[in-house]
Amino acid sequence: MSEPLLAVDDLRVHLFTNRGVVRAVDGVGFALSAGKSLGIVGESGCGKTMTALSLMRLIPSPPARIVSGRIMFDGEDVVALDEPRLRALRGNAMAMIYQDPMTTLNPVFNVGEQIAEAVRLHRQASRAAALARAVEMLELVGIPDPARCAQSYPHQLSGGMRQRAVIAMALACHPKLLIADEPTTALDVTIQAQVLDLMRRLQRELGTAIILITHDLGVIADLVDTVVVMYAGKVVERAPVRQLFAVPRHPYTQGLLRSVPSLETREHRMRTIEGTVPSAYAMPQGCRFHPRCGIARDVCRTDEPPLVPDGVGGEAACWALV
Amino acid sequence: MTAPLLQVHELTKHFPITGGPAGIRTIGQVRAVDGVSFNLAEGETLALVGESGCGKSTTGRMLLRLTEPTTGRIAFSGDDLLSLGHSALRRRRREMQIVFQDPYASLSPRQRVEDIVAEPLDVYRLYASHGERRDRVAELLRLVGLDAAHLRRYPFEFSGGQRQRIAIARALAPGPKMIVADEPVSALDVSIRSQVVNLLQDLQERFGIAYLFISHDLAVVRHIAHRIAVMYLGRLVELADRDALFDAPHHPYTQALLSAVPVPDPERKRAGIILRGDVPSPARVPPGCHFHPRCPIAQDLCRESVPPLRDIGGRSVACHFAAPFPIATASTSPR
Ligand SMILES: Nc1ncnc2c1ncn2[C@@H]1O[C@H](COP(=O)(O)OP(=O)(O)OP(=O)(O)O)[C@@H](O)[C@H]1O
Ligand SMILES: Nc1ncnc2c1ncn2[C@@H]1O[C@H](COP(=O)(O)OP(=O)(O)OP(=O)(O)O)[C@@H](O)[C@H]1O
Ligand SMILES: [Mg+2]
Ligand SMILES: [Mg+2]
Repeated sequence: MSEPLLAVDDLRVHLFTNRGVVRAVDGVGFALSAGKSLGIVGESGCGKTMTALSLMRLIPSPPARIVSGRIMFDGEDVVALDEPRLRALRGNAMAMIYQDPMTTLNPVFNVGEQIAEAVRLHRQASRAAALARAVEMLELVGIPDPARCAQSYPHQLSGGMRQRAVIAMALACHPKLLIADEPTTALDVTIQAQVLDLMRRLQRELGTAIILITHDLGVIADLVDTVVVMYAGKVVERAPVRQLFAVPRHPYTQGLLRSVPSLETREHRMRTIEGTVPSAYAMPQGCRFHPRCGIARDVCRTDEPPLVPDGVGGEAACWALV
Repeated sequence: MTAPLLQVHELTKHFPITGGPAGIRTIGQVRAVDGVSFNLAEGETLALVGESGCGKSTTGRMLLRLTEPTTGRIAFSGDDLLSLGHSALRRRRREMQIVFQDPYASLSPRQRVEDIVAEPLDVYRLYASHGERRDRVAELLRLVGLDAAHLRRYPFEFSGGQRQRIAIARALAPGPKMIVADEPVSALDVSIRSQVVNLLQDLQERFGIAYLFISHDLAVVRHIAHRIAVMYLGRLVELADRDALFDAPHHPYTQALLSAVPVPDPERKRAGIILRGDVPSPARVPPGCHFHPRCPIAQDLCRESVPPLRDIGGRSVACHFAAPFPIATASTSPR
């Protein structure tokens, strides 16, 4: 078997704040081959964005620090790279679509110039050629009137247009790995379908590997090959997509799937997982999910469950499965 | 019958497009909102759905006059909102709040959570003592599922979903009659999204708050809305009671929209109507029906005349050939 494009091993990202240490990412591991896609799901605050940011070493530091782990990307350990090498990697071999489009877009430049800038950073092109490429990219992500959009400033665009502009920027340089943090949350379903289609095409035609972070399990089901479920900084389950939806093993995954509203079901209240994610400063002992778990036993309150392979390509961390 | 809380009549917003050598000449118009009318009753939820860029946020912002309408009328609790002076508008705004689409941009990074949520309380002096202020904020945070221990923190210390809940707490603070909720749950994960939707419903039952609920999450819309308005390129194309809309969408755009919803089941690939044709731009709106360039059932009439919003069996539809879903699906092949 060939080496995966990306292999993350025991990644720990902690935030050192004056209120204490937040273990935002606490021993996360997964692998991804070229041309494949991986989805990361989990409740708000469980560390998805921190995981994604650390793959490009873009975590806010201070307060965040990668305290241990390896991130092997294309034969190099990202954790050990120096700044110049990292800069060469970012936006070139690895590109990221941020959850918040406004962190990528500069309010004082028009959108076309910014995408052209990204193009020129990584390949030789005249200003005019780069601008033309920018308009082309905007069209590719389904923006109506791409020429007007290119000349607009970020505040003149709708939420969904801004998000697509950011996607266009990330795709402009044909990265080997595309990390997309909630790329479609601001998009309506028809545009979302187009953007997902575009990502699928990149994956198929250019062999781009994709990491997709989203709350939307419908999008996960539609696009990815493997799903990683995170809870409070840890991977609680990892499985091929069909298997995850057919036989979710971890009680948290089961709860997540039950909370998905569908167009067909009609209930007075939407289903939820009782309780909330524990405070980052006061993680429960043992299994971090136990205070909200319907099947918690004594051992769950004292010992952390290990990730145990299920024998059919997935793994889950739950004492009930050991 | 009492008058509805909010009456919107023929609301439009045209943004000038500037250009020319100095970049200051007006060379065109973005017709972001192009003649929209609807009512909202006390305690009612009206959902506003439609493609990205079709004018939903602009419509929502105009209701609070955060964006000034180009033309149209808005009546809120009997007042003509567009003729109110600055101080009268400020008083009225206590009753109308907004939760913005972008939970990052809408919270000031330098303010602590306590001060962010207390802002409307400060503006309208809604407390007697500092202790009461803090208690109110703690109570609001608890309502949206955040810990009162978070009071002294800054927004950047929160994840995206947590920030959106802070924004909701702030909107609830002055006890509004109406909240324009612009994608209030799209940044939230499924479980918390459900919690927030349940919360919004509880608050509505308790306090009779009306919501204009802007969202493209149709499953959530189906759950929370009493009525649904579907917008396309600046205009309403269909307005109907929730079940009527989902059970038998009449407008071809509504039909395409409903069929594009991704299903959380990898075995069932999306079998939706994928819209083709030129993607529309509000800077160059087509003549006739705005939807005709992408419509699977468009005829010559549609290219020439604007279909008015007309009543068909209790719903409003703007289509010359409106018919319930099954009839239109028979001819969904792209032109
Ligand atoms: N600058 C910071 N200081 C302290 N804590 C932080 C900071 N940034 C993030 N955190 C905490 O780190 C944890 C992980 O955050 P992260 O943004 O990765 O969550 P997420 O899974 O992406 O959530 P969401 O789905 O809401 O975007 C959260 O508990 C958050 O409160
Ligand atoms: N300040 C502005 N100047 C110029 N054009 C604007 C401005 N604000 C919005 N627009 C344009 O008006 C149109 C409607 O934007 P709006 O934000 O209302 O869309 P939306 O329906 O909320 O979309 P989304 O679902 O993507 O948030 C867009 O074409 C946008 O570019
Ligand atoms: Mg995040
Ligand atoms: Mg919007």
